[in-house]
Amino acid sequence: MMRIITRIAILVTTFVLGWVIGLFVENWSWFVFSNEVSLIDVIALVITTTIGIYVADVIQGNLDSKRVEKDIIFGQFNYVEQYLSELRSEVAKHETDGTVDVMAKIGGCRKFWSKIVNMIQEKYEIDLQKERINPNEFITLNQLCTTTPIVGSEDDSVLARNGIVTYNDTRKNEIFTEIDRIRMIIIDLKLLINQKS
Amino acid sequence: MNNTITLNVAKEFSPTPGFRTKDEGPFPAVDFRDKLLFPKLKDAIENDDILLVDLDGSSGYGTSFLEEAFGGLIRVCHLRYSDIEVHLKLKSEDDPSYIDEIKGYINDANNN
Repeated sequence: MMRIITRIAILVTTFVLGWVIGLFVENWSWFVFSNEVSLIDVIALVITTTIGIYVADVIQGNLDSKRVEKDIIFGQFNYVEQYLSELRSEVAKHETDGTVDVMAKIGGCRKFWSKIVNMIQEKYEIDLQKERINPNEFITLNQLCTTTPIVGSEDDSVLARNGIVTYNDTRKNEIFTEIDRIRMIIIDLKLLINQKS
Repeated sequence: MNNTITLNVAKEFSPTPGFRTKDEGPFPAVDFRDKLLFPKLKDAIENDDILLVDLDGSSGYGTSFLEEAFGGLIRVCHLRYSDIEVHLKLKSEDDPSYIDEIKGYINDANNN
């Protein structure tokens, strides 16, 4: 909203300024040169200039501050995307480097996601339900990657032995699909944040 | 209620909790549950205290770890749901969604 008002103000100011300059250029006779300078005029000029600079500074500062906020949030998204890429590579291997690696990558995603959701609620008052943003978005991925069977079960989707995890092909595909789904959500959310002023 | 006793998983167990059982890898849920969570919660129930499990500071928790540790309180240790509900509190500021997840596993264990 602020950005639209600023743009309209700049357009109107430019138009009025152009019009006034046009009038002066057309009527040079309007100009009167005198060796006297009114003190009131000097004071008015100084005050007008000061206010102009101050207002420009405040508006620019405000815009800069919002840009920095968005950059910080997008930085958090980068962390999540990095973890997702690493997790995808890890799961794609025949054997993962270790249970700890898998857990740490999903744990990292969850921490940053939680932070992002808090920040966008606080800064942009985004209605999570309306925008279909789930604070628990990573629970399914966590379950797909880290649910080893209860003792006695014959499920071999996820097997962990001595700190090494292996996934069968079906589970790998389920994990890749879930990662892609989350990536799509991240893209939508980035666009939504970018539209917010 | 008398006192609140805090159990910090990262400091008192491991900053990198593992999966479900000892065969699966280091720092399994069964160790956490049997050596720390269950004895402390049992004491808390007997002394009418609160056990606050602080989940912050770890690299992350797998589903197996959470299910075995907390669901196992009912499934394996045979604690009563009502006692757990009253005497066990959870703290997770890094990712509050762990709290709902754990409550889900405790509920599932109670209903099965």
